[in-house]
Amino acid sequence: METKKLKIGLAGNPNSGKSTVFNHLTGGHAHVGNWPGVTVEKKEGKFQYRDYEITVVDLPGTYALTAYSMDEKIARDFIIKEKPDGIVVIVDASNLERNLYLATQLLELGANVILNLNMMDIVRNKGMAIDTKKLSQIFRAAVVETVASKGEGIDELKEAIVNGLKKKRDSLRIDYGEDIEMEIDRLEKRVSISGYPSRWVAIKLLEGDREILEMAMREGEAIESQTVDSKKRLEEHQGYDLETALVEKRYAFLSGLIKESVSKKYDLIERLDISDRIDRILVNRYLGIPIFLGMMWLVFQSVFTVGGPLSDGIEAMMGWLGEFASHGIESLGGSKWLSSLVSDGIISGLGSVLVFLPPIFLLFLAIAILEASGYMARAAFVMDRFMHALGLHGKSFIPMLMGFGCNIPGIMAARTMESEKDRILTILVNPLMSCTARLPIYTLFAGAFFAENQGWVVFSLYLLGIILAIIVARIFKGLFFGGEVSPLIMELPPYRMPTIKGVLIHMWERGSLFLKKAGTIIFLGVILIWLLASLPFGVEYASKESFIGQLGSSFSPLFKPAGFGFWQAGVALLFGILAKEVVVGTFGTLYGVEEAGLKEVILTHFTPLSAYAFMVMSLIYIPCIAAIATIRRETNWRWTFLALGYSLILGWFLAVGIYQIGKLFL
Amino acid sequence: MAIRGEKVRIIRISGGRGFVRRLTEMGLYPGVEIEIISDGHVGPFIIGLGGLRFGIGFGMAKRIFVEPFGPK
Repeated sequence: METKKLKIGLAGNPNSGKSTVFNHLTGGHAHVGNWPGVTVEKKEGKFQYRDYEITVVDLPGTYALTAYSMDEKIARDFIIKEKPDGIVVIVDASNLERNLYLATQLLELGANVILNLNMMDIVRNKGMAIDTKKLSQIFRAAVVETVASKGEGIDELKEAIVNGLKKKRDSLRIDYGEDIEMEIDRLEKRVSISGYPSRWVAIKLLEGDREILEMAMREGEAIESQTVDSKKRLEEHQGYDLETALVEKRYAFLSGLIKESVSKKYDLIERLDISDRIDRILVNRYLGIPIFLGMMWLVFQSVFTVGGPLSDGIEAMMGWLGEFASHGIESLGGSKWLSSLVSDGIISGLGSVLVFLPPIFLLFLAIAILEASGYMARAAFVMDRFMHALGLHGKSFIPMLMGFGCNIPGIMAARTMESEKDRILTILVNPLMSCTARLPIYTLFAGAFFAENQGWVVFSLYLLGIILAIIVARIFKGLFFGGEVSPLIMELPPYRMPTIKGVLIHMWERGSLFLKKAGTIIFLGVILIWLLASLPFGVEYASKESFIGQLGSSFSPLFKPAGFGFWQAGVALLFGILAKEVVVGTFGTLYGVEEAGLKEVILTHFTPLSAYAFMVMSLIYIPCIAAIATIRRETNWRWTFLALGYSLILGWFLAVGIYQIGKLFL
Repeated sequence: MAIRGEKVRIIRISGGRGFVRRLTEMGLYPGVEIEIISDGHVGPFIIGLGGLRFGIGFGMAKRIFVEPFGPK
C-alpha cells in the first residue's frame, strides 16, 4: 500500500497543553531545530496512521496571529507560505472563549482547522458540557475532545486529522457590522496578494498590519491611500477605534458561539482557590524572594551534588582513555604525533564536550520541572521589580542565575524572553556571571595568596561579575537598545504536577540541541588549539616553541601592566578559552608540576596583587569556546564579536587598573 | 487603585500600540470584566479573567484603568 504524506501544524495558546499533544502524537520523537533565520525553536515530528505518514510541525504558542511578535509571525508565515494540509488548534476547553480567538484568526485566514478541545477532564469536573456538533457547525471545523495529560482521545484526533483534512470547508466569516463590512468590501475589491484570501487582507489592512500593507503595495501602489481613506472614514467620521473594534467583534462572535454550544455558561471569574492561595505565598512581596532563592539553591545543590561526580567521572574516564589510546598507538608503532592527535586532540576534545553534559542536562531537567509546575512564570514576577531597577526584564533573572552554574544553559534560557532586545542584552552580559568552571582558578589563586580570607576573595569576584553585568547592561541598553523594557504581562497557569515523561522529553530536547550544535564547535575548537600547540612539527606539546607558546609569548607583554606578563600566563589564558577550568591544568603542564605542587610554583611567579588581577582577568576576558558557540547560535556573528570584544577589553582594563592602583597602596 | 477581591471593568489601557494590542488579544480590552486576585501590595498584580490568571509586571498595572462594577 502506498503511504500518503500529510503535513500539519500544531497551534495553540501558551498553557493549552500543546506540547503534551505533540508528544502524544509523535511519541516524543521530535526533530528540534530553529525556524529559518530566527532563534525560535522549531519542533517537527512524524507519525503513521492508517496509510498516511503525517509530519507534525509545532508552532510557537501564541494568542493571536498578528505580526507583532516573532512567534506570531512564524506561525503566520508557516500557514501562508508552507501551506500545510491542516492546522490542529489546541485549546484549553475549560477556558474556551479566550482560547478560541486564535482559532478564529486561523479560520479567517482560510486554514483547514481541526479544533482540539483539550483538558476535557476539567470541563467535566466543572459540570459543563460542550456541544461539539454545534461548535463544529458554526466554526466550520472538525472538533475533537482530548485529555492529553492522560492520553485520552489521541486516536480520535489522529482519525480526525486523516478524515477532516479531506473535506474542504468554507472559510469562516465573522460579521464585523455594517460600517466596517462596507470598508472591508471596498478594500477587498481593490487588493490582491497572491496566496492570501482577499477578505483577510482587507481586514488586516484595516487593523494596520504593516507587513500586509507593504505586500499589498507591491501589487499596487494605490492601496495605501485607499487604506488610509477607509480607516479615516471609520475612525474619524464614525468614531471607531478600529484595532480594538475588530478584536471586540471577534470576541463577540465567540461569546455568541459559546452561548449556543456550552450548556452551562461558566462564571465570569472562576474560583481557583488552591492556585490563588499558593500564589499569595509564592509571589508575596516579602516571602517571594526568599522562597525563590531557596528554590534556586536547591536546584544548584542537586545539580552539583549529582552532576559534579558524574562530570569528574567522565573527565577521569576520558583521561584514562586518552592515555590508553596514546600507549596503544605508540606500542603499535604509530608516530608520537598521531598519538597526540588522538589523545590530546580528539579524546580530550570529546571529553571537554562530554563533561558539560551532566550539569547541563540536570539544569535543564530542573528548569523543565519548574516550568511544568507553573512556578517559572511566577518567578519572573517575583524578580521583576529588582530586575527593572537594573534595566533588565523580569524574565532575564533565570538566565542570569543559571549562568552561575554554566553560562551555556544560561544563554539558552534567554529564549523564553519575547523581546529580541531583552534577549540579546541578557545573552551579552551572561558570561559575566561566574560559572563553576572558573571556581578552580579562584580556589587555586585565592588558596595560595589569600588563605585566610579565601571565602571573601572568591565572593568578591562573584559580586564583581554581577556589578559589571549591571553596568554593561545599562551601557549596551543605551547604545544599542533604546527605549523601555518591554512590559511583563504573562499568563499564570494553574499549578500542576509535572509528568515525568513530559519533563524528560523537554530536558532531552534542549540538551541534545546543545550537544549537536555547541558540541561540534567545541570539538573543532579543541582540535584547532591542539594543532596550534603541536605545530611546528617536532616541538613538545604546548611548549614555548609551539605556535601557541609563541602566541602566548607574543602577547604576554600586554599583561605586564597587570602584573602577569610572562608567557605561561598568556598560554594559560589562551587555553582557558577552551574551558575556563583548563587554566589551572595548563599551569600544571607548563610548569611541569602536579596540581598539588602548583601552589608553590605560582607563589614564586605571582604577588597577591597580580594574583587578584589574574583572577579578575579570568573572570571577564572572553567567554569559553562553548559559550561563544552558544552565543553565535543564539544570535549572530555581530553580537558574538561584541561579546568577545567587550569582555576582552573590559577584562584587560580592570586587571591593569586593579594592579596599577593596588600598587600605589601596597 | 483596585483592591484584592474586587471585580472591576476595564475602561482604558494606555501605552504603545504593541502593548495595547497584546493585551487586547489576550482578552483584556475596554469593557471586559476582571477580578483583582492580588492587588500589588504584597506582590505583583494578578488579575483573573474567567479561569485564567494573568500576572502584570511592575509599572504595567498603572496603565490599565478600571472601574468597580460589582459587589465584593
